[in-house]
Amino acid sequence: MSKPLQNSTKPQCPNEPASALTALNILHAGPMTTLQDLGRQGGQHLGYCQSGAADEYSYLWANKLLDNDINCAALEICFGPFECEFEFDTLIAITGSMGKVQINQSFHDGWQSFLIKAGDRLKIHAPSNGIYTYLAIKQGFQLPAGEKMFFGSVAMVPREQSGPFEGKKFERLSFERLPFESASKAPLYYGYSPPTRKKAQDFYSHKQQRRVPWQFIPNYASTLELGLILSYQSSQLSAERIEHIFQDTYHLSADSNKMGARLEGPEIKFDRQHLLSEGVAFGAVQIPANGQPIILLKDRQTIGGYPKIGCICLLDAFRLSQSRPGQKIKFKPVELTHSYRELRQWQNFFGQTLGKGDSG
Amino acid sequence: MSWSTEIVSQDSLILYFQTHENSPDLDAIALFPQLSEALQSHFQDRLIEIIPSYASILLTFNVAASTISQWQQLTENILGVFDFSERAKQSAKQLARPIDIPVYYSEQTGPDLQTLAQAKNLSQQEIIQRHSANIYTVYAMGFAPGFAYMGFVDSHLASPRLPTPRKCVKAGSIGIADRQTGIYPNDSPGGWNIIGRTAIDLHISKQPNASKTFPPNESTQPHQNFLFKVGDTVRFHSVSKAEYLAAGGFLDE
Repeated sequence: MSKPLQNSTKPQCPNEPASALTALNILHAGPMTTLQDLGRQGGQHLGYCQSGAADEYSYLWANKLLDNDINCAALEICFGPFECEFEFDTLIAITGSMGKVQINQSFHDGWQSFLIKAGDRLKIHAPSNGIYTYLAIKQGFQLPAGEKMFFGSVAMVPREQSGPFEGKKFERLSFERLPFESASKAPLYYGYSPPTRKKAQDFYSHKQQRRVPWQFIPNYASTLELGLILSYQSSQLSAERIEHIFQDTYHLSADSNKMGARLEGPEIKFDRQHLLSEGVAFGAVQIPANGQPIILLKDRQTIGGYPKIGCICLLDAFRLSQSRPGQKIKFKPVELTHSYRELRQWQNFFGQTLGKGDSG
Repeated sequence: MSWSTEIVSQDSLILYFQTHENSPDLDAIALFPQLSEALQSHFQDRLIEIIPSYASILLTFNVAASTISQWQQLTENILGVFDFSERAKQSAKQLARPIDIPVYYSEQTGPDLQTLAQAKNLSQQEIIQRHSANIYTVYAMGFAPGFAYMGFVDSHLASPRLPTPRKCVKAGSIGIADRQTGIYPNDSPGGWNIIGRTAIDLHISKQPNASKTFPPNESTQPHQNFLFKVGDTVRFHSVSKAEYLAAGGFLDE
């Protein structure tokens, strides 16, 4: 199988000793738990998918709650329940869709950061709506010795068996030890080393334990309107047909996954069913022979020969990734120039996430 | 030949290459390696992905500080001064040396060889001759990492995909689907007609130049690469079982 061949782990801060790593031990991983970040760059011409966090909104909030770099590796947990144990004191953040967050015997809501003490056991219960939970840790997870980043990313892709851990998801009953920087290296204690536990706790609870304001927490059950930029082969459809696409309601099918969201609804028919394969952008709305759209997401194939009516807006695709089968979906026309307004707000808030922080 | 650019999403645009008759120009691919390089060296890491495929190239940009319309304008400026002439194509073609792939064509390594021979009313030997006579062009890479779509096989060999794909096609297997041929880089499911297998490993590891990359940590990261890239030419030649095994080829138990 394709195996990365060089020696490297997630970059260390140059002045810090690499030995101060401690770990989180995964006890129960649920059906699909992987490490993710903002995804790979520069591998798609070879057929490697983009990958990265399915829902960047939740992923970015998790890192933001911890003042992490925007591209810090976090765990992407599909459904759960997920259980783990910590070897050292740290701060974590949990966002996305989730049931109750249980730390030892106490229950909490998600979308906040938590102070964790060595030996604490965390259980994230299965969500009642939505798909993915993000578990971020102060300064991000490091890759264990011997595991390497792939095209600049920790993203794991089970289908391709690519990325660290050969892309294999963490097993349901996993005993994987995921390293992170021990808190003594992190600016948690602000130089008071070592503080009394009481003192640290007070500090966190007053200053560092943060919560996402309620108005920014998505409701994953509400009807989803996806902004559609008409492109690719849309000119082959009549104006009337396109008008219908914007009026019709679709439902998310149960076959959906991180490769693509399959919709069910009124058929969209193209006269020419096949074309020369061409590159497929994130959010492309592909129409296979049965006329039922497939919206291509983070783990999509890189090329395809089905006609496409266009692409949905980047931020809408993240929200779509969190949708459950049966979710009502509508398309709305979007004017390209206006579509950047939302994107700019996002960047101003989270930082320049598109293209990972390099200025354009 | 002519080109056009179309915006497909907030961060991507696609370049299409057409002949004078307005059909996709499959000859343009000879210039794709040079063109990709020109785009890459101009845009650097603001150009995130370049996906060439048959007669198109998809470009994904960093839109953190610009819009895709601005990138489209700059891309068109580069295309405007790029040499797409017939002469440039010819010299690119001449420079490209075909990559030679030794193949052990046999029923043992090619489970569809006999079926294909029967269906086409040809002997196995004729299938082998016709398959190894052409020089193929890599038109796209995809389906799975490193899988190269090459064209075009002799029309007498053209054959639709298997009605039921195999659960596991062995790494190195050479297949035919319609008028395309390809090599499976890894064991994987697949529906192409398998006629032989090569002992050559299609994976190569590329050591990125440490001094050129930024941020510096990128330099130490693995970049998986493959023997082929889009635009390369490939030739197959038939080898004996002994040669295949001596080159490290394996047979199924």
